Amino acid sequence: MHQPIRDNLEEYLKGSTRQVPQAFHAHLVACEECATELRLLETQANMLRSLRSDAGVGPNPGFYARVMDRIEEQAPASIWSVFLQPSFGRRLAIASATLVVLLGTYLVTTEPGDQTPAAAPAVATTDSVKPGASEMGAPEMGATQDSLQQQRRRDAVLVDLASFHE
Amino acid sequence: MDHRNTEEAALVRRVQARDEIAFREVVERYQAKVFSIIHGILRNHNDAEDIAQQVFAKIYFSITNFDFRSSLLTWIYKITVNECYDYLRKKRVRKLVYESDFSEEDTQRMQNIDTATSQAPAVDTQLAQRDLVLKLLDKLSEEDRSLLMLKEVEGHSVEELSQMTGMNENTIKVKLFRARQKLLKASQRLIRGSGQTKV
Repeated sequence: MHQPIRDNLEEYLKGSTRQVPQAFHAHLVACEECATELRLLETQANMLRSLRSDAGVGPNPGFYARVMDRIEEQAPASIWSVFLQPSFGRRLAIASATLVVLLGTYLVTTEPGDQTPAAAPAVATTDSVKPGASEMGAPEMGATQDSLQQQRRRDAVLVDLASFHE
Repeated sequence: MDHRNTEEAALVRRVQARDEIAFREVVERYQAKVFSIIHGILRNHNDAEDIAQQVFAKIYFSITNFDFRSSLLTWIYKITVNECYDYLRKKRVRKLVYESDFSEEDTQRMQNIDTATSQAPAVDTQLAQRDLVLKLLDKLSEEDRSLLMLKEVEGHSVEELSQMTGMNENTIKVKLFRARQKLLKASQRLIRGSGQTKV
């Protein structure tokens, strides 16, 4: 397509022939190729106009609410929403219950009294080498108050025994 | 035209900040337009309603990507047309007809267009033509397609398109011309293809 036609194509297709210069029409008469292509482009423009919608069409009432529902459905899930899923929640509950049972069993089977025979000889050995250090080392032996007191009582007995021996 | 300092830009910024009242305003302002664009393409009220909802959901989630280079309407128009094409593609896939394959029926329609447009076509012919135009438009890039549709379907002038897109009028004219040429070539390929199959 030649320049005189290209330059005024949009005005011509819009139907505003008054805005189209005389040179445009003169070229069309002289150039069969441009005339043919222009006819095809006119047909094409008419075809495109068939996509125009009928006047007065619109969404049903309550459209905004339906849009918001759609947005909620499509909103990316938060990390906490995983816990609200029924299948995941059930699995989590089973895992928690299992963990509680295991911890309970462990605590019952490993009571503090069971550990004392193993700890006592070590204290006795240490105290027999350095009797004066036993009272300073006692707080390090146990974390809880009970075990500390038990330890002190045991130390006192050991000190008595040692002094008796002397 | 600067799209950053308009009343519309202020509204967009509010939507970007997740202001629900502003979003509601956008929906109410553009719902009729969006619905009309979709209805023009699909000619089905229920489908148009469904896709219009999807368009606004997409607007809500991707408005943070809106860069004010074009008007909000141009941006929404592009999303709307793309959404229609996504729907048509899915529908065609469901029918097991791939969109790039023109049927012999399409070719026949193409050859009859000249006579059909000049003689007030019957409803069936009109529908067939629309279907064909949509298939041909699918061969264009998103930008070419929107531009051509904004010009011919929505009836905007070159000057209006220039304001809406932020491109100058000459650029718009050149882009429109190229888009028209591509569309013409696609239809010529279709006719040529039919000639080969018929021989």
